[in-house]
Amino acid sequence: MCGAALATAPALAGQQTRVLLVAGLGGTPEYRKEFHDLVQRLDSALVNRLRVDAANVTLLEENPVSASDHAEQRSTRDNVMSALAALAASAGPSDDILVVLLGHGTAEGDDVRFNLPGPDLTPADLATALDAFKTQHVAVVNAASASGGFVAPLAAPNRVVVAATRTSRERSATVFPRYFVDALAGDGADLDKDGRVSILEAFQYARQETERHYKDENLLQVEHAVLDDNGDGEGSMVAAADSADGKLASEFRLGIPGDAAVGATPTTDDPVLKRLYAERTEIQKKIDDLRARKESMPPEEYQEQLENLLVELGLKNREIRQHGGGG
Amino acid sequence: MTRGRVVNARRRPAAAPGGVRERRMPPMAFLFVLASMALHATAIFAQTPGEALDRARAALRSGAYDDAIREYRSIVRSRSATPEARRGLVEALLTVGRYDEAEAAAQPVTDGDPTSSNTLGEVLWARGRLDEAEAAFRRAVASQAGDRLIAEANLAELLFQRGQIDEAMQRFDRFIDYYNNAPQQLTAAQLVAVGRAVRRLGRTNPDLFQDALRAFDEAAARDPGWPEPHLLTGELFLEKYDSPEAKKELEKVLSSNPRNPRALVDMARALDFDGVPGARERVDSALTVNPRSVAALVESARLHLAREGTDEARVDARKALEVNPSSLTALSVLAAADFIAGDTQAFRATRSRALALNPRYAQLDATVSEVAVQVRRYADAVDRAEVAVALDSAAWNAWGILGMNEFRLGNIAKARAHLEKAFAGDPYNPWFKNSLDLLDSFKNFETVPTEHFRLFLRKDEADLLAPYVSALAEEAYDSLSARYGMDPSLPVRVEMYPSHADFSVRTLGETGLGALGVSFGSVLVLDSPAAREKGEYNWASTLWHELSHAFHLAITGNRVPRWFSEGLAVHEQRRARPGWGTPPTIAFVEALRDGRLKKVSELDDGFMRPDYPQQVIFSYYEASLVFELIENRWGFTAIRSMLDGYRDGRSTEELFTSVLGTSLDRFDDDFDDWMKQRFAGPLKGLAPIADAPPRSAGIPALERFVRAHPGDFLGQLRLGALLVGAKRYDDAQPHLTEALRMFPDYGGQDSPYWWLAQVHEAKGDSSRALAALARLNALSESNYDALIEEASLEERLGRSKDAEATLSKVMQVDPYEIDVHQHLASLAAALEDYGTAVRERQAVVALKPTDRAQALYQLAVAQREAGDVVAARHTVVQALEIAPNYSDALELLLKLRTGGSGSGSTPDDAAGSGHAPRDPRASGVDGGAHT
Repeated sequence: MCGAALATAPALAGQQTRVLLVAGLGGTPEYRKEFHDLVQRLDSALVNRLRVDAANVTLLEENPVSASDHAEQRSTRDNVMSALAALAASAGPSDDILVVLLGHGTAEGDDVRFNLPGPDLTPADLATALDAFKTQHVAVVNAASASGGFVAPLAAPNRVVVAATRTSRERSATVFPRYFVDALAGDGADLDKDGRVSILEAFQYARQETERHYKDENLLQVEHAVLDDNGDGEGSMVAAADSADGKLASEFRLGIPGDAAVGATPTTDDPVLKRLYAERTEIQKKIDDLRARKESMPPEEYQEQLENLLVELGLKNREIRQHGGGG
Repeated sequence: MTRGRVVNARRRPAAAPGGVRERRMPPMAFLFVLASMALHATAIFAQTPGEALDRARAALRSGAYDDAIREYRSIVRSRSATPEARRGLVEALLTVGRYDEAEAAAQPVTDGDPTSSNTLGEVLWARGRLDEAEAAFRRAVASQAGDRLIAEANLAELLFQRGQIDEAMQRFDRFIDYYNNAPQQLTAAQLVAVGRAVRRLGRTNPDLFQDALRAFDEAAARDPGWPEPHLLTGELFLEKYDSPEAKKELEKVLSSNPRNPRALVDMARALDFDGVPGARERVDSALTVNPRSVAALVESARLHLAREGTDEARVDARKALEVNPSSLTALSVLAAADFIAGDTQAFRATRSRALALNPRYAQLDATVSEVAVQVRRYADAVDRAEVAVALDSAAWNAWGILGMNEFRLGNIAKARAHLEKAFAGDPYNPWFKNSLDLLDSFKNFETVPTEHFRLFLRKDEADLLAPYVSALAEEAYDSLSARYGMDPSLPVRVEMYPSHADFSVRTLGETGLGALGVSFGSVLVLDSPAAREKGEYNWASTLWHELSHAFHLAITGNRVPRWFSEGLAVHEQRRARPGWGTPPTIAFVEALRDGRLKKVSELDDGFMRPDYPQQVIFSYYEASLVFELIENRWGFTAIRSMLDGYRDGRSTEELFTSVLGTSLDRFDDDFDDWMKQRFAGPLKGLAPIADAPPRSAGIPALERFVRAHPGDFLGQLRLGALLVGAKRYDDAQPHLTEALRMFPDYGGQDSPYWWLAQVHEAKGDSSRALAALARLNALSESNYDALIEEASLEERLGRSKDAEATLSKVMQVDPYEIDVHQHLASLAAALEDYGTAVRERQAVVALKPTDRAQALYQLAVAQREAGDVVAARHTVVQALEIAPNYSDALELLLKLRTGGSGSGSTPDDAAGSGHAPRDPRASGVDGGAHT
C-alpha cells in the first residue's frame, strides 16, 4: 500500500510551484543529447501536464538551443547559483521549490560533484543556496551518478532530497533519471489515483522501474536510489508516507491544482456542496483511520468495514457530481 | 595446522575449528617437531645400513620393482640382513602381486623371532587370512620389536575391519598419548601409524581429521621420499571430498614413481570423483604393474558399475576376492552388482559373507545404496541406507545417502532429519551442507495443490506461475495417463527453482548440473523460467518431459534404462506440441555424417559415458527417433510392452527380440539406414567441403562459393542471411529457399524460415512472413522473438484468435513481461475469452507492477466480465485500499454491489452482497511452506 494520506489538505491560497531544471555536462554527444531530451521532456511535462506556470520554470542546459540569451541559460555553476538566488528572491513563503539535476556526477573520496560546464557544483554550493529557502517546501532531485554523496550535506528540515545512488561510490551512469522523468510525464506514477504525482510516487515509480530495467537486461544493478525527508541525512531505499522517510515527499505534489484534484475539497459557496464535501472528508478520514488499524483487526472484519466505507465514498462522490460538484 | 579447510563446502559454515582439546595433539608439539627436524634427519641418515639398502629403497620408491626385489633379496640373503630389508622385499613383492613369495619372505628366520611378525601380519591381512594376521600383529605388539607401534595400528585397523569397534577405538586412542608424550622421537613410520589411528578417531570427532593430516605432514617431512604419507594424505582428502588437494598429494608420488599402483588407483578415484576422463586408464596402468591388485580390481569393478556394467563388475570383484577373500570393499561392489542385476540370491549370499567377517559392516549396504541411486532406484537406495545405519549408527555417509534419497522421494521432514545427523557426524560433506542450506530456504516456497499435483514454487513467483503450471501439468497428466494406462504415485510433487544453482543442489547436492529438469519418480524438479535466459528454455515442454519419466519409472519399478526413458520422454514432448523437445541441429547431422552418434545398442553410453560433451544432447534426439520409428512401425503397444518387460527384469536385447521381433544388432543397422534416409537431404547439404569460406567472409566471397557449391546448405544459408542484412531481399530469397529445401526441419535461431520471414515482411507479404514464422515455431520450442513476431503478424492480419494462442505460448518461454500479459489480456477480452483475460490480469498483478492499484482494477474488470462478481469485488477493494479516490474503481465497486446498475442505490442496499472469499490457496491441502 502506498499509504498516502487520503483526505487531501486544501492548497494554501497563492501557493505556487517553482522549478529549476539543470542538465549537466554531457561529455559525449550521446549523453549531451540524452540530457537535453530528458530536461526538455521534463520541462514540457511540468508545464503542459502538471500545470506548473511556465514562468516559474527555469531551465539551464549545457548548450541551450532556443534561448534568446544563450549565456544566461547555460548550466554553469554561476548560473545555477544565480538561478537559485533569483528563485529564493521571488518565492512566496509557502511555495514548493523543486530542483532537478540531470547529468553526470563524480566522486573522489569525499569530494562529490555534479558535473557542469566549467566549475562543477558541490554539495556545499547547493546547500548554501538552499539555505535561502527558510519557509518553503524544497525538493532536490539529483539524478546523477555518485549523487548519494549529496544526501547528507543537503539534508534539512522541510526538505526532500532524492539521489539516484545510495552512495558516492555508485559511479556508473544512471538510468534512474529517465524513469523519474517518465513518472512525471506519463500516467503510471499516480499510484493513489488522485490525479497528481507526489515526489514520493515519482521516486517509488522510478526506483521500481530502474530495478526492473537491470533485471530485464540481466545486469547487475549498479544504482540504488534513495530518498531522505526527515532531515537525518540517511536516505531510504524503501520510502513511504508511514516510514522513516517519505511523509514530506508524499505531500509534495505536482499536478492539478489542489481544489481540482480527485478527492480534494474544492472551495464553494454552495451550502449543499459544502455539506457534501464535509461528509466526504469525514468518510475519507474514517478510511484513513481504518487503514491505520488494519494490522490489529481480523482480516474479514477489516475487509467488510473497508468495503462499506468505500461504497459510502463512491455514493457520496455520485451525490456530489449530481449537485454539480467535483473532486 | 599447515593446511586450509579440507573441503570446499558451498554455503553452510564449516565445522567450527576444534581448538586445543584434551584428546587432540597440541599445536605446540607440532612447532617443536618442525624446529628439530634438521637435527633428527641427520641422525636417521647416520643409521642407514649401506649403499645396497639405499639402492634397493631407491628402486622401490621409483617403481623399478624388479630391481628393488633383486637388491632386497641380495641383502636379505647376506649377513647384513636387517628387518628393514626384509620389509622392503615384502613390500616390493606385494606391490607387484607376488603374494606367495611375499608370504615366504615374511616368515621368521628363526622360531619366535618377533621382528618379522608385523610384516607377516601385513601379508596375511592382504590375503584375507584375518585370524592369522591378527595373531601375528598381537605377537608383534607384545614384543619389543622396532615396529611394535606400527603393529599396534595394524591390529587396531584389523579389529575395526572385523567389527570389534570398541576395542579398536581404545587402541587408536592410545596413539594420541604416543604422540603427545614424545612427538620428536617418532619415526616417519610411527607418525604414519599415529595419523592412521587419529583418522579413525575422526569417526566420532571430525576435528581429529586435521590432526591426522598433521601427522602425515610430519611423516612426509621426516622421510621426504617415502610415498606412504602422501598416499594417506591424498586418500584422506579424497575421503573428505577435496579432490584438488588429493590430486596434489598423489601427483607428488606419481611424479617420482608413475607406476605406483596405489597412487594410480587413488588418482583414478579422484578423476572419477571430478567426473573427468582418465580414471579407467589409471586403473589399467595399476593393473599392468599388479594384475591382482585388490584395490585396482575393486576400483575397476566400481567403474564398470557406474556404467551399469554389472557383469564386468562381478568379474573384477571376484578376481579381487580370489586374492583377498576377506576384502570388504570387493564384497561390497560384488553385492552392489548382484543387487542391480536383480540377482537377489547372490546378493544375499555376498552380503552374508561380508557380515560374517564384520557383523557391523555398514559400508556394503551404503555402497549398494549409492549404486541404486545411479540407476534411479531411489526407494531401494533408502531401504539399503536404512539397513546400513541400523548396522552402524556412526556410518555418516549412510545417514547422508538416506537423507538425500528421502529428499528425492519428497519426504522432506525425514530428509532434513537424516541430513542433519549426517552433517553433524561429517561436517566436511558439501552435498549434505548444500542440501541443508537449500532446505533452510524452503520457508520461501509455498505449495499449491491441484487435482494430481503439489506445485512447490517460490513465493515471489507462485502467484504468477501457478495458473500456467497447474493447467499444463493436469493436461499432461490426463494425456499420459490415458496413453500409458497406469498412474505414478499421486500426488506428483513439482518443484520449480528460479535459481539454477538451487535446482542443481536439489538434484545432486552440488551446483553445476546442466540439465533443465529431473524426475525422481513422483517428484519432479525443474528450473523455473527465471533460472534461464529468455529464449533458451520452455518450462512447459520440460515439465511434460519429466512427467513422462514419472510414468516410465512407475511402470517399470524404476528399472527402465536411461536411454529408453529419455528418448521416450522426448518423443512424448513432440507428440504433445509441435516443436517441443530436442530438435535436429546442424551439429547433430554432422555427427551422423561423421559416425559420431552411438548405435542404439550403445545409446546408454551416450548419456552415461559420452565420448564428447555434445553427445549427450545428440543422444536425446537420436533416442527420441528410435521411438518415432518404433511407434510408426510397431505401434505404441510395443513400447508399452517393452516397459512392462523392463519391470519384469528383462534386458533390452530380449525385449527387442521378443516384442519387436528383431535383434538389437539388426535394429542398429536398420535404424542407421532409416536415419540416413530420413536425413538424406541435410546430409547431402552438409557434406564436408575443403575450401569452405571463413566466418568473416562477405557477400562476394560467399556468392563465389555458392556458385561453386550450390548444394552446400551452410553456404546458401549464410549468403541468404547476409543478403537479408544488406536489404537485398530479392537476391536473398532463392538462397534461403534452397537452404530450406535441403534441411526443412532445421529450426535453429538462424533457420532459413527466420530469414525468409524477414524477406517476406520487407516485401510487404505479411501472409507469407507469418507462414514462415509459424513453421519456424513448429520446429522450435523457445524462440521468443519468433513467437512475438508471429503474434504481431497474426494480429495485423486480423487473426486475433491465433495471436491469442501464440501469445499464450510466449508464457511458456518468458512469463515475466508485463506488457505481453497486458496485451494478451486485452486481446482475450476483445475475443470474449474472459478466462484467459482474468489469468493474464492476475499475472500482471503477480508481477508487482508499479501501478498496482490500476492492475488490480483491471483484474477486477476482467473478473466481472468473466462473471466472477465475488472475486471482482474482493479485487477492486484491494485496488481502492491503495488508492481510495480511484474514481473508476469506486464506480466499479458500486456496480458490483448493485448487480451492475449502480445509480440510485443506498449504502445499505449496496452492502448486501456478501463477502469475497479468502484466497483459495490459503486453505490449500498442503498450505504453507515445508520447512
